[in-house]
Amino acid sequence: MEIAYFPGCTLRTKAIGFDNSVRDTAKVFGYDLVEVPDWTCCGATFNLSVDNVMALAPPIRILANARKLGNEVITVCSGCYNVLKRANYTVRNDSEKLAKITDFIEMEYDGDVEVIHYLEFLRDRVGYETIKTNIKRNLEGLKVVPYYGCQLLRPYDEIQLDDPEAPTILDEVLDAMGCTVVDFPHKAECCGNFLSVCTDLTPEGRQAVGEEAATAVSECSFTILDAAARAGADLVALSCPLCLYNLDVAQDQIEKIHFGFRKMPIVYFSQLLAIALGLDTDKYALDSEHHFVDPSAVVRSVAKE
Amino acid sequence: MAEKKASKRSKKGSKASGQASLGSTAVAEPRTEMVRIYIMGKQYEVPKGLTIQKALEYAGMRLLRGCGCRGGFCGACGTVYRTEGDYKLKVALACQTVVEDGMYLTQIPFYPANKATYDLEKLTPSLEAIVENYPEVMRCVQCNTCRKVCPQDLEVMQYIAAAMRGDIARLADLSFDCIMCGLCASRCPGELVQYYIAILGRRLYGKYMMPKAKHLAERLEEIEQGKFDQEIEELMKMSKEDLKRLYDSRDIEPEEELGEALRVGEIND
Repeated sequence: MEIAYFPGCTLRTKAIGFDNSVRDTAKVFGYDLVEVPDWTCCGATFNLSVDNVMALAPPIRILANARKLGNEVITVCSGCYNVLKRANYTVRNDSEKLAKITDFIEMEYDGDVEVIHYLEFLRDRVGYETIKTNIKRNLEGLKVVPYYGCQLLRPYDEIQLDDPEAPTILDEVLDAMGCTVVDFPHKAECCGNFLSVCTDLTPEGRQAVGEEAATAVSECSFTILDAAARAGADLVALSCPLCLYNLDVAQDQIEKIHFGFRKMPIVYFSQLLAIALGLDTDKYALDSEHHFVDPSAVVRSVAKE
Repeated sequence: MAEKKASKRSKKGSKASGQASLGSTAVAEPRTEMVRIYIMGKQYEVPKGLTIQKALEYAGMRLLRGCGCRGGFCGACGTVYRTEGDYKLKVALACQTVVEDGMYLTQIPFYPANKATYDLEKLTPSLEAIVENYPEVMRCVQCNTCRKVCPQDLEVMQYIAAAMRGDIARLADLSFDCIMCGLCASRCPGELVQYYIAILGRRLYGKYMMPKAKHLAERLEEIEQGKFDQEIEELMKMSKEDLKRLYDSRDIEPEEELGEALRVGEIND
């Protein structure tokens, strides 16, 4: 069965392993993810100024293009999901804005496309039982913390994916694929990425912004990674390329500040799903080229055959 | 506006009839239908059917810039215009578009576009190469204005979207027919220079990604080994007449081979 899919820019570049693993795992369950025609960047961050209608143009154009394929679109990057879902929510509840933006982009759209996260798709469409029956590799030895971050869950009124304070959907998906899911208290805490994208973390940059500001970023990540390590986890699984970058890149700095800090690989949940389903692990960028903390040793430990 | 035109004609007409009344047999000379256009806000009457470029010349302009090949390929004569009663801004190449009545014309012969200097040898066909040389590419908000003003009807915003995700092949492909008229840059709220970003993409594609032409490499090798040296030397010594004779009696490529070449061309397209 074919279903519309919006990969997003990061998934075609830095997070290519995320993209490939989502497409391939969906195929195992009998779904062909078809790229939305003529897709562009979604805008990456949902614009909070009420009158900035221009920022709605890219996401609404993407949804209008997705409408050509059906009335639902799957996306998987937390940032894209957040932007598409909130833009959709905005025009569904504000007919004036909808009219203005469709007039500007010169396309028809009436808000009737559902934006679905791949986690949601795995839960509601594929089903945990189907995942379990397709498992080819045993991931029981892998102790994983599910990390949700901010964009996947908030604001709840607009997103409504899961409880914004105590989410479980990623826990359940990881559990269904056979991982040992490790509970920890910082699942939905900010990793600090909005500080890291606007802070120059090179040595010169650190000097310019001041050590205190630069450290603020790595401290956000430290709180999460330290709690994960204390809970006994081997790695972190998530769905946000920005969180992955931030949690990953911060670890060198954290190591310098916090004596005894144990580095931990960060991966996308779908990369683990691909391993569990017995797919070729070399295809999903689980290497030092795409990660600061190399996940390949952990991957090899569970994917011997 | 039709009335005004008619009144002018009747004035001319009355003059002609005046002559006729003098007893001569003069027939009214065939009159060219005229249209009104506005060049930089000033009204001119020009014959219907002229291109914008010819109309400018008819109106007395001498085109030193903003005019090149006159055949729709060079992109020098980018024009922005609007017609009476319509808010839409439209674009055209002056050499390719016929004047309409009530056209307000603005020529864009040059646009002060930002152009990066780079050493292609030191770049890789990647997002990094684009962003290093044109960091403003990330200012694209995807308003699609560039697409709306492209006289070549290219998917400008789409190729910029491809650039923003490092898809150099798509950037090169979608921008292939760009004639670099500059109209996209003139309207871009993000101050991007789409056509320079695109030519960087095509250069990267051509140098690093396009399959190499095997036959060309083989021929270059043959030239370097001196396979054709003797032949060239003989040609250099020939008289003009002998050269002409030789040219006229040359082997013309058999049709079969030509057909083959065309088919290969199609596949490459």
